[in-house]
Amino acid sequence: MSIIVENLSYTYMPKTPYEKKALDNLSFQIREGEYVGIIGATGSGKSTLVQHLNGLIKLTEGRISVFGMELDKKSKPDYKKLRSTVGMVFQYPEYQLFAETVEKDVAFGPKNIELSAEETAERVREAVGLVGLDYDEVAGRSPFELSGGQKRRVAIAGVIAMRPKVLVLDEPTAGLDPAGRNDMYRLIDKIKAESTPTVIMISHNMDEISRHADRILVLNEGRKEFFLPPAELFANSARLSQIGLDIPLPVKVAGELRSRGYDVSQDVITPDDLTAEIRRLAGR
Amino acid sequence: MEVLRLENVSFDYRQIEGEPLHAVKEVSLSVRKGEFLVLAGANGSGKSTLAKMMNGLILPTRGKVYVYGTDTADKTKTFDIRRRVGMVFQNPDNQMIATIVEDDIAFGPENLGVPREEIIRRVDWALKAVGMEARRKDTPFKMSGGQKQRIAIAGILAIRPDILILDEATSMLDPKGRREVTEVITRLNKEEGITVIHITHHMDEAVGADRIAVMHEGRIVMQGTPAEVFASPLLTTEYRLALPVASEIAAGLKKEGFDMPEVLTPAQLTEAICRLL
Repeated sequence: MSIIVENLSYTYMPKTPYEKKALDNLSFQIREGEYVGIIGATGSGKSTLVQHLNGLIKLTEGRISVFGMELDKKSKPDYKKLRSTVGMVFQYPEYQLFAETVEKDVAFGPKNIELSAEETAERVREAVGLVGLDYDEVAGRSPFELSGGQKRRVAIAGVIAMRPKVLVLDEPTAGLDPAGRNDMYRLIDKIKAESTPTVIMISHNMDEISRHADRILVLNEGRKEFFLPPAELFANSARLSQIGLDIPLPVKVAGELRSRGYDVSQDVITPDDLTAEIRRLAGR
Repeated sequence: MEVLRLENVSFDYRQIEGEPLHAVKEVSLSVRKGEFLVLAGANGSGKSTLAKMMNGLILPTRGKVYVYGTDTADKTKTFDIRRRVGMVFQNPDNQMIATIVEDDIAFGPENLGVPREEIIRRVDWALKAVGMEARRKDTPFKMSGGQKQRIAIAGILAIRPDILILDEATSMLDPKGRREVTEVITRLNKEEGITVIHITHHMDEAVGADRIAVMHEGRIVMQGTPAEVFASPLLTTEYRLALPVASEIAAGLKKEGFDMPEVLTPAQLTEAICRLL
C-alpha cells in the first residue's frame, strides 16, 4: 500500500464558536499505481484531506502512512522528504509562479533539496519536456509571457521535477475550456505512465473523473461515503444525488431507459458506452 | 428594440515588445431588449475583452459601442452606462466588499444616492430574485462559490440594470454552483425582462439561450439558436468548444446512422432513444 489513512479526523478552530469538524474518522488505502479521484460538495473536506498527506496540515487525530513515512500525533516527520514524496498541484497553480524564467521556476524545488547543478538541470529539462513544452524555446522566457495553459504546465513541471512518488492535483482543469480540459487529462495520463504512477485528483466534474479514475473516493461532510470503481459507484446514484453530487449524463439516461423496461447494462458510464448499448439493443 | 450595438469594434493590447495583440477584430453585434445571448469561445478567443467594452470599462481601439444609443466613449455618460449595464466577474472572492450580505448588496444603490427606504426595498427584492433572502444577515465569506456569485448578482440587481453581463461568472464554480447561477439568470431574464449576456465556455449553460455567438481568434465566427450552433461541425474542432453531453451523444448516434432529432437536454435524448428501440 502506498498510502494508508486510519481514523483521520480534523477540526478547524477547536474550542471556539467557529469550531468545524472538517474530517470525521476517515479510513482508506491507496495502492501504488492507482488513479484515485476525490469528489464531494464544497466543504466536504477534500482539500483538508489532501493537505494532510504532505503535512501542510499537522495531523491531530488518527494516523497516515505515506510510502512508509509515518505521520501521527507524536511523530516529527522529515517534512522535506515528505514534500518531495507527495507532489502537490494546487488549484490555479499558475498563480504560484514567481521566478524570472521558466528554467529558474522549475528548478526552485530541486535546488531547495540541495541537488547538484547537473542533477537539477537534468530534472528541469526532463520535467519541462514531460509537460509538453519545448525546453529550448521556453527555458529562458519569463513564465508570465506564456498563455494560461502553458503557465499551468510550467507550474506542474515544477512539481514533477521533484520526482514525487504520488502526484496530488486539486482541480487541475478549473477554468480551462473543453479542449484545454482534454489536454490536461492527457497530460496527467502521460505523467502517470512516464513519471509518477500514483495519482490522486480532486475534481468537481463527475463525468470527467469517472472516465479516468480507477476508484473514486466520495466525501460527504468529512466522512467517507463511498470508495469504489466508477461502475460500482453509480449503482448508488440515488444516494449520490441526495448528497448533492452529479451523476454522469449517460448513467442517468441509462437508468431512465432501464426504468422504462429496456435491458441496458449497469456498466454504462461514458457517452461511448451508451452509444454501444443502443447499437446492441437496436440489433446493429 | 436594440439596447446594445457594437459597430466594427476592435481592441489591441499594447505589449512591451513587438506588435500589439489584436484581441478583438472588427466585431459587429446587435443585442435586443430582453434577449438571452450567450457569448461562447475558447480561452483567449477575446470574449472577456469584448464584454469589457460593453459598459465602457475599456474603450475600443477602433469602432463604436452604443448602449441604449449612447456612445461609451462619451465620458460624461460613463456613470449612466455603468448603471444600465451591470457586470459580474469570474472570481466570486474578488467581488465582495462588505462583511454582511445585505450591506454588500446595498453598496451599489448607496453610492448612487438612492433614498434609504428605496434601498431597503431593492435589497429585499434583489435577495429574493437570487433566492438568498434567508442569508441576508450572514457573512458571504463562508459561503460556497455559487452562493457568493448569487450575492454578487444581487449586488448588481440592486442598481436596477437593464442589461446584466456575466463575464465567465460560472467558470470557477462547481457543477451545483453553475446550475444555481444559470437558473437565477434564466429566471431574471424570463420574469424580470432583464437582457442577459452570458459569457461561458460551458455549452450546457447555453442550451436555453435565445442566441449563441461564438468567438474565435477575436472574431464572431458563428451566430444562431443553440440547435443551429450545435449542428456545426466546426464548433468542436476549429473553435475548441464542446457540445452539451446530451447533444454529443445524439450526434454520435446520428453518425452511426440512427435517425435522431435535434437534442439539447437529457429528457429529449431519452425520448429520442426510446423511439429508436
